[in-house]
Amino acid sequence: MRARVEDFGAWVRLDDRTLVAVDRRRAAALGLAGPWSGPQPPDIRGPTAPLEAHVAITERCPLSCAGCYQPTRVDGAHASLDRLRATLDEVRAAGAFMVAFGGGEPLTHPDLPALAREARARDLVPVVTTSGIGLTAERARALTHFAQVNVSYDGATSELRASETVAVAERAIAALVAAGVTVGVNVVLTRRSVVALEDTCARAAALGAVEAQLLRYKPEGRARSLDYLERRLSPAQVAELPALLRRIVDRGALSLRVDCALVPLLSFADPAALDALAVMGCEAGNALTARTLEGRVAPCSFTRELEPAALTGFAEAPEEPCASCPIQRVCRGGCKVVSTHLEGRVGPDPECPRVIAHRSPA
Amino acid sequence: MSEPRIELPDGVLAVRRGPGANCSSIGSVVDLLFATVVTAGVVYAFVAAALPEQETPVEEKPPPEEEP
Repeated sequence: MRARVEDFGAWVRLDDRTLVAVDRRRAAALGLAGPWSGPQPPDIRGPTAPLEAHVAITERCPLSCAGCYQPTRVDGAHASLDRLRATLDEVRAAGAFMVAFGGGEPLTHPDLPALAREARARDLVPVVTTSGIGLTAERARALTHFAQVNVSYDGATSELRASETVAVAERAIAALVAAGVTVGVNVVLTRRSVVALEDTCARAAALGAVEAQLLRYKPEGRARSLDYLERRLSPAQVAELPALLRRIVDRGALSLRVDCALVPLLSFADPAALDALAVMGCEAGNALTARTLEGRVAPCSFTRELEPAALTGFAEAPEEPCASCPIQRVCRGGCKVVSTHLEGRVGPDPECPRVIAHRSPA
Repeated sequence: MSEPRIELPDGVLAVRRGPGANCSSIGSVVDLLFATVVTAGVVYAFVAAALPEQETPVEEKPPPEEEP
């Protein structure tokens, strides 16, 4: 168990899958001490140290997926194990509880199993995301130190990945499950993939995945093109999203997770419920930190070129319609990768239904 | 859309489930936004049972990271 003092009280990690935020009184009962001053904050929101870190370990990948946000190459470089050890030391010193390894394709890195052990040695919970390419039964058995391995799996209709990657992903899920590894799937929501989302989730669950992480399609890397406009969710699909998620949850086959960039699309939700579940929107440079392949600090995996202060500054003092939005403290203005790509500035997420309505003529 | 009110044990402000991290974005489990009161109660019971009453090692809030 680990605990970290916060202005509101403390974060307490109960296990690999559960972080609990307690108030100052409960924190004090656990033997934790401030410094605390002023009244008890009503929620967990506000400036904080990172809870999780996203660490790029390689730029190598044999695939060339159309929607990849990274400039991967088949002969891309790996970060050395020594550099990554130093990065893990930094991440731990920064107070993070979790570390997510990514790439490129992390399975191409020869030290991936060792990285999980290095993270555990620092009391960090390690997870990794993979396409599954190159994963064998033997290699799957070497990944048991990870709390979860997420396999990229957009389903049969995705326009972002080659069709053969569907079979690659399904074999990987099965191999990981057979090895006793907890498996989730990453599903990038596009105009085509969202149509088959229920089937994709059902298939993933049948293969043994316990969770589907839904990712908004973001205009970065290879996705930073005119194709983005044709591939992003349509307004009608955004409007239908809550009902779609409810149907998937009702089936009970797997757990459902949404990424930070999808939070603006949850503006239907009760702010108190979002707080109780610690749902997090754009936490780039706040509860989220990232490390580039070279080991540099970045606000998130996508925002290497954005000024960190601009991201956190907008979240703390947003313009309308974010300023009056009931979930602004959760959402923090939506995805700045999207606003920067579409409007050239850090501003309200232009794909948020509330922002669209605000800007529409009465 | 109406959701069940999510009740948490005394002194608990939030429960963040799942490993959360992903290589490309921070993620949040949202099942309970759509779940039944019974399911929400399971989380309440788990946290109430698992959250220790005894003291746990202190870790101060670290200083802000230096950005590039």
